[in-house]
Amino acid sequence: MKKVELLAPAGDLDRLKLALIYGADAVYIGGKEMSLRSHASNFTIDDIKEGVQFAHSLNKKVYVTCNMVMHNEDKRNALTYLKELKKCNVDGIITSSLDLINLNNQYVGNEMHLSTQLSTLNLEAIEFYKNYKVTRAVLGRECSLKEIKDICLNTPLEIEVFIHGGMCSSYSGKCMLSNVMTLRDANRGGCAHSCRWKYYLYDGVKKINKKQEYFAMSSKDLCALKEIPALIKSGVASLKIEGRMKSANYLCAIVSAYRKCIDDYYSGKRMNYKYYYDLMSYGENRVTGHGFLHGEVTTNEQLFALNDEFKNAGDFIGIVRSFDPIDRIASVEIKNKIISKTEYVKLSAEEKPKKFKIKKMYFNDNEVNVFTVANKIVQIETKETFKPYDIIHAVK
Amino acid sequence: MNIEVESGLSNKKIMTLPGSKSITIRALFCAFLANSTSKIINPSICEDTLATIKALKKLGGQIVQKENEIIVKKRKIINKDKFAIDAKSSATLLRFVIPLFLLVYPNKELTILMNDDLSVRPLDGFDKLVKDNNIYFQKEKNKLIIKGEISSNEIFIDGSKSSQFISGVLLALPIRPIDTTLHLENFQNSYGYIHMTLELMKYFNANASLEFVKGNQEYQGRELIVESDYSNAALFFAIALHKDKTLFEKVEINSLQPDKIIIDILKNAGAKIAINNDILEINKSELKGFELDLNNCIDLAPILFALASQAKNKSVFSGFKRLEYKESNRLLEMLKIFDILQIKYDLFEDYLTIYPSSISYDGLINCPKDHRIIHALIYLASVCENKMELANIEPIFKSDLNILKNLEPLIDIKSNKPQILISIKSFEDLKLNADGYVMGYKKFTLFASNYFTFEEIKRASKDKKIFVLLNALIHQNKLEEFKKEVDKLCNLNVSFIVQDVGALHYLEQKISHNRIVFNPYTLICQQDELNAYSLNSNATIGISNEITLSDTYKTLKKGNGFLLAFGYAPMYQSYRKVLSLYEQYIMRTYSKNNLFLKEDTRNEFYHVSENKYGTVIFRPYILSYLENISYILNAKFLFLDSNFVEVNKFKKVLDLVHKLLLGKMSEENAKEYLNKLKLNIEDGFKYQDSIYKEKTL
Repeated sequence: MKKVELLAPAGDLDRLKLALIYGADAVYIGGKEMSLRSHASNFTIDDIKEGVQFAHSLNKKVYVTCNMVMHNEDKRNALTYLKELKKCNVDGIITSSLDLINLNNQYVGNEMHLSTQLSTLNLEAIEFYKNYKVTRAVLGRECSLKEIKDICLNTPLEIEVFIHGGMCSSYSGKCMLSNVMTLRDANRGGCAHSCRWKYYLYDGVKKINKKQEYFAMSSKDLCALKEIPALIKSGVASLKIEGRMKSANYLCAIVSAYRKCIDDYYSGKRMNYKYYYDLMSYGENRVTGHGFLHGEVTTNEQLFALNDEFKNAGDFIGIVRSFDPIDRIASVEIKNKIISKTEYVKLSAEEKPKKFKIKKMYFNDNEVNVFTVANKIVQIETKETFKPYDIIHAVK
Repeated sequence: MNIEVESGLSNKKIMTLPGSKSITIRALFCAFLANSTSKIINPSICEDTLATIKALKKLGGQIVQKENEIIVKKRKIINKDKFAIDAKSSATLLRFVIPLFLLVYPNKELTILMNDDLSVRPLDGFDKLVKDNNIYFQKEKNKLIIKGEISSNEIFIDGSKSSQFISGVLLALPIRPIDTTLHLENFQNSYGYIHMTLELMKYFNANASLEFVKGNQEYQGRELIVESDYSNAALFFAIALHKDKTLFEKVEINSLQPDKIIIDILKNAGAKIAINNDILEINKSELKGFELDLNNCIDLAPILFALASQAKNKSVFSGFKRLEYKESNRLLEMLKIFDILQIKYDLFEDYLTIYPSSISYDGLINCPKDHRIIHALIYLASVCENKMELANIEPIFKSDLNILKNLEPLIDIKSNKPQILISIKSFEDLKLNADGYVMGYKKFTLFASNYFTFEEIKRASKDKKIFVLLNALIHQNKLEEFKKEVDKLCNLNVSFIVQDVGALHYLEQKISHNRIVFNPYTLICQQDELNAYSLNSNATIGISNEITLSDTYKTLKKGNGFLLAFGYAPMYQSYRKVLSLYEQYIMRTYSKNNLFLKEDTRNEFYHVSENKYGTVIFRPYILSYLENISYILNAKFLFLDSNFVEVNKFKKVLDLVHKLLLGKMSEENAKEYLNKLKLNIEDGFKYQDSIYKEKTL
């Protein structure tokens, strides 16, 4: 049986490499054209080329999202772009446009995947799309475990499902809240997350909400750690983590957790969910639920008190760029305040999270005690050994 | 009304052109004034002559219109103080009726209503007449009121802006009890029309000259065969130049119509035209170009400009100053069209140079309100390499109601008319005038105006075309149940509107594509996307309401589109039953019939509905394309959704749509009408695209 693919998001080349290093089998990225997530730092063609080369050197894959719902003006460069992606050797293109699929099939020949934006929920739909020679369908996030299994068993197409991250409150692709309310089109990458705003509910002219009882329609994030064995058994081809805009630290935590979980399942080890959750807790998670995996959602999967702020924001201290084993000095790109002579946690791809203490810290060869300027490089001296892409995290 | 024009098959055609409008209207006035019965044979049947007949009847005319003739009996004298007529868009009627009324009904009051386009056209040719005779002459918007009498022996008329002022006076003066001396100015350029008036008067036994009209004359009833209309003929001749051979029957070569000059102009430019008795033969010819002073044939200017663009060499025109006083500023309008079609020209002082240009425009052109310009556009569309679509062509009916039919032998004209679907709330709504009725079903309908049982749908489908709205998304665990329901419904004579692509795929295996509409609401935002679905599905495809009007037009162009043209569009569809979940959260229940959401910082209220298939939130306003009907006429189905709309207002909207489709109401008036209904309509994305290209980090 083919091992399930762990598919991670990447907002830029650095996070692409990081996600693959931390155990993702594939990453999906957005180019400068036709991709949702207009705020994500989308990839140039050169970035894509480099990312694909890096992934292929590890025997891993890169998929490019072209999942914008195109209007006439968006289509201008479509064919050229598809050809450029082909030249980059990308492993697949995720799209919600049958027009793009046709163009590709006729003139280019990239592998094409159906985006979740199409809300594909049943086998008849998959049969329809099969005519367009797609190789994979990303199912709508409303599918239950039972439905996913049913679909996987009855189609030759690869099935990809979301296992972690943000959930649209609506059927994906069917939401115009942001567009109508703020002129930002979610189907073209402009989602303003209007479903997370505060609403009042009225019965005619009578307000139903009492004080602080804001009506909310938005959803908790998805976390399917416990459902991983069932999903693998269903025959799912790819398990997808949401969040091309998420930080390196988040990716490191979430990818590591699922990597460990999947590997343990395949190796027949006892599943250690406590440990996976612990790994995951280093990421800036929102509150999570299991979405629709166990059937229709209950109040447990909804966000009512608007407590959707990130946990642990500010605990991502930095990312290691290099390490000098002789002087035992690590160069760290800073993301949040770092203090010398303080204990931190090292997260890395191979090891468990490990505490260490900074002995001394330097910026531009001067010793410093506290450093707060984001994206600058400081040198830290410790007893610990590091390698590039290790994450420095605050002690929980 | 929109039409699509394509060059038709050529080869030998024999055509008869309809009667002249100018002669028909003059003959109607002569016959009205005559003391015995007249018969006008082969009249021009157009909006202007119909308005003239109606107006003359109001003034006592005894007029009966038969299939190809009009009988006019001796008029009755009506004994009342106030009269009212509607001149609609006819400048001829307006300018002819003023002197006639003053003489036939002295010191009585006449109110003349008129359309917007007529109300801006000049009336100052009568200034001196009005002043000298102390006539009450009150012009308001769309209305002119006159009262008084012509008492002076001498009459001064300025014909610089139109010869119709002069023709109007000439027609009326013979019935005066006294003789009149005329002082006519600036009429030389349009003398042809004045001559036509004088000749027709003579035919009806009334004599006049340009200096003097004897009083106390009597018009006598006559039988008149109206010769073919040369003004309209110019369009037919122009198109015929691109066909192998076309024969036009019953053409009066000795016609008095000034536009007869078109034959000489075309011949001089190299057209192969032969005349045998009353048959005119036009053979395929490439024109070499024109060098022309338009003063004597100003009405032919638009079609000649258009022809010039297709000539071999450049053309130079002069003498077109008067074009700005016509139904539209014809020079400006033609140059606007040239810009759109990329026809090259130079306008320098009093000279217009037009260069040979090929036309490959592929899109919609909104016609100005001027039948001569539309004639030019029809000609240009007929030589265009692509299918050109002309919107709002109604003004061409001003000079010939049957023009599209008359043009049929020469070109292919497709007139688009979508089918109107309405959603019904009750069986009562089945009485409303629509092509199809959309009914929600008790199962697999996420939202609808109402939800009906199988039996109810069966009953309704017996004598109406029913579209069952199954707009729930179909989850895998409900797929078998869905198929069972659909199998049942397929046995009825109904069509379906579905949102789920799986539902589309299943239906396509069961029934003919003619019975299926696939409406994914937000996904189809450009024409090629619709085409891509059409590759594997022949169903009608619903397009997004989140695109601009021009994209809507382009996306509908292929002709198999479905559009929500009026109604509250959904802006959120979720499988989550968020209303029920909220009930559980606050531990109170509420009725779910009339719920709205309101965002904390905004003022709008959003309708929200929920059933077992999920929750839907609607836009805070009605989206309407009715005032832009010309952009959406390529749709196969236009859907008017009655959900949340008051029944009476919805009925009025439906009437409005039918009027718009029949060309009985303009888009501007539709907009005004909708405003008056106070319907909470907004433009949505019609004129503004979303801001989505955020700067990348």
